[in-house]
Amino acid sequence: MSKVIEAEKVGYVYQSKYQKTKALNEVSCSFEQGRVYAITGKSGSGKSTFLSLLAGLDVPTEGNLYIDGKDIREIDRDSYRMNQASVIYQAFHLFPLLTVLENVMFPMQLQHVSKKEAKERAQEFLGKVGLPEGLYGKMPNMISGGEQQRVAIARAMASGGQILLADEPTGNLDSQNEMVIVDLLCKLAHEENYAVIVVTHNEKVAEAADVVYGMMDGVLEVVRE
Amino acid sequence: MINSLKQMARTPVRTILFLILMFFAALLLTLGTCIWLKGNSTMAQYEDRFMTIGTVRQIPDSFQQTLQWNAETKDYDVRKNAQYRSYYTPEDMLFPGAEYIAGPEQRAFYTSYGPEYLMYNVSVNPSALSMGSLIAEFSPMEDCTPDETVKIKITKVIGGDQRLEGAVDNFCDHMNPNPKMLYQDKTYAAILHTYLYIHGSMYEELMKSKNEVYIGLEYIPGSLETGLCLPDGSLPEDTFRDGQEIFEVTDGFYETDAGRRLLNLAQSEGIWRQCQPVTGTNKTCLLMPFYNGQAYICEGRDISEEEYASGSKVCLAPKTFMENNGLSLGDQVKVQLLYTDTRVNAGRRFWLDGSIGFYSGLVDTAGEPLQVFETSDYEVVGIYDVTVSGEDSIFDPGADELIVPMQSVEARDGKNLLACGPMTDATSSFQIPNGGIDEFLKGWAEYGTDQLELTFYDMGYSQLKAGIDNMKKISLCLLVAGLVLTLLLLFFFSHLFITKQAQRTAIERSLGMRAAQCRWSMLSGFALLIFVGALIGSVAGTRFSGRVSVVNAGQSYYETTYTEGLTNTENEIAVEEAADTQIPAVFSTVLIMAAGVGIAWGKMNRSLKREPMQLLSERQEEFQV
Repeated sequence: MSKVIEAEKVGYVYQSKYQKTKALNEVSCSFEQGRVYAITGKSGSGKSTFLSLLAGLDVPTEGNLYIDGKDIREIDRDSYRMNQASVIYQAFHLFPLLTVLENVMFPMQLQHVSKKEAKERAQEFLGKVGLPEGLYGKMPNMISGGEQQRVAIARAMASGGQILLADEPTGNLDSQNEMVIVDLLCKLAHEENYAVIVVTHNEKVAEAADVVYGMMDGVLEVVRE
Repeated sequence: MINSLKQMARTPVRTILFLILMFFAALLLTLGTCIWLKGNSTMAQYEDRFMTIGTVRQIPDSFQQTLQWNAETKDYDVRKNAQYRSYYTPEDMLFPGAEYIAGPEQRAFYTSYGPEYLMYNVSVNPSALSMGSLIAEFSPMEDCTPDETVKIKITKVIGGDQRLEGAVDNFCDHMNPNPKMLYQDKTYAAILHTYLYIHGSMYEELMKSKNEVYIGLEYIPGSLETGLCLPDGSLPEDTFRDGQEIFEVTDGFYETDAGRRLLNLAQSEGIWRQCQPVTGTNKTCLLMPFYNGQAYICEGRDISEEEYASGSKVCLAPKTFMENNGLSLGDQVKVQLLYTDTRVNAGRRFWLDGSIGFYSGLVDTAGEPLQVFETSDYEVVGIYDVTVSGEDSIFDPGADELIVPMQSVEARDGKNLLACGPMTDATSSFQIPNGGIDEFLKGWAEYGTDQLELTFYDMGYSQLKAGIDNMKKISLCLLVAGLVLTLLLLFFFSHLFITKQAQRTAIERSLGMRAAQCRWSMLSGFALLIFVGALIGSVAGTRFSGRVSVVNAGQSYYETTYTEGLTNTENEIAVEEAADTQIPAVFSTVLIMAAGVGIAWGKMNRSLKREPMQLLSERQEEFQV
């Protein structure tokens, strides 16, 4: 399996007007396609910061982060997010004023996929995440949290990338939906060859992962491989 | 953009509210701008047609009382004569900051002797006896003392209408408290003026008749003194001043000083019917009859500024004069200036009804007859007509009055000055910029004198301007309200549509949208809403402004169309407002668009500066809370 992401002594310092906070300290690890990675840790340990670096939403202040062997500082990060990596959030972050179907079509529209094709593929992705067809025309606030998260996953898939980054994807879900989402993520990794990286402090999610990292005070350690 | 619009369409209340409020803001803004512009352009359109002139009158320093015997009442009449220490001149009106468009000027009118022309008074009544003034020999019908009206027989006309020779007429030495006895068998010579109605026993006899009777006029004797005066108003030395007025004709009488003076005076007697007034000015509008529309050019053109400045020999001539003499536009009129009057305007001597107020004493201090002092040919460039109102006005133009550039009269300082006086409303005026009365008076209060009384005429410009200024104040309020409302709306709704949509921006960024795409995605819908609201509001504002009048309804404004060959007997200006323009609508729409996009751009940039993860994490925390 190929390494899609490789971190090499990555560090990150938040710098505000009055203070500096070191959120990440010499984090080194790598991520491959077809596997599920869980990053656990307490709140404020730096796991979400690490995830944002992996998503290309920011760049490390120290060390190097390689995407397909290229330094993240040198690649087009917008393009990376659009075509390679997608983020799933705890709060789903769907467009509240677009329908379920339109939310999933959105990334494809950014890629200038025709409306007809985008619609077909969106329906396909929504089918894959197991969302009933009757909900496609609903607004996000009209469906349950689990359903919303499935829509978010379908939207992530729609971008066409092979890296799924999830920030506490089950944080707002009940246990039944929690397992549905975990299974879905595992299925995407193992059957669709996605590299799934999940930031969580949910033990069940961690248990389902192929590799578990622990993050404490900005330092990453392998918990289980 | 479609997604952006879709999302706006799915918050209809907010979007419609924004559209409606935007509509009203644009309406106010456009309405204010429209009214403001309309007021300005209406004023600009009529600025040239309105004129503001001032007239000047010197207030007497005092009044001197003189006593004059009245034979009818057998008592002295008290006469008041205005006294002036000195006459102010137009130069005294030049003060720092005084902004004159024309003038100030004190006009003289000159009498031109034109025996080759048919004058108005003759044309009105060709066979009328010229009874106003006469130099004649006469004898009383019986021995009498002329302390009341007595009958005399005019035995010889020395100067004046010869047809009166042999006539029996009335006479009284009216202003002499001690008249001398007149004898039937003697002949007397005097200047005779018709002046008053008969009185005394002759009048009582007439009154005894129960039939309707004609009460005639009586002749009274006149002075042999020269009629000339000096520019300061004083009178030159003359041996005949306050002297004898009735002379017994004896052998050799006409060899005496008095006899020679009578003969010299007789040479000019009766020439009135062959004279016409000529008024020199620096601008036609300074003459009140032209200013107020009583006189207007019906053919040809006005005298140009250049012609006024250079003193060209051109003139405006009255229609009746031109018709009476078979003249037409472009013809030359021969002007022979005989004497000058600065006391009154021509209309007070050459009346529009054809009567003439004559002067006495047309001899110089040496007793020689006054001679023409300047001869010129003037080209008629404009023919004017006069509306005779029937009301006597001090501003009435004179019959047969020629209007010429003041500079064209070489002896304009006053040769053969028969009457002089201070500046009066009818002889002195100036033009100032429209709307400049208050400022002028402010300067006048500081530098001017109380001895000169100013009266301003602006054809209602002040009222029109006040009305338009009021509308402009209202338009300013609308404009400010529109601007404030626009800014408040733009700030508030850009907060709702953009700042509050930071999460959407963050999601879009996390999905790989570039900053520019995010900007377009967010701004396009917002900008379109602004554009639609602003456009509809602006168009509505323009339409609505068409129904708002900046001119006071029912207000009359006086016409000045005596220029450029226009004939207009309706001396009112029909003030039409400037046409509505679409410029304010375009201006408002562009302004609102620019402000809206600018504000939204700023807010968008602030959102884009924040990292999406940070924004989405915040939202997550908020969500968790």
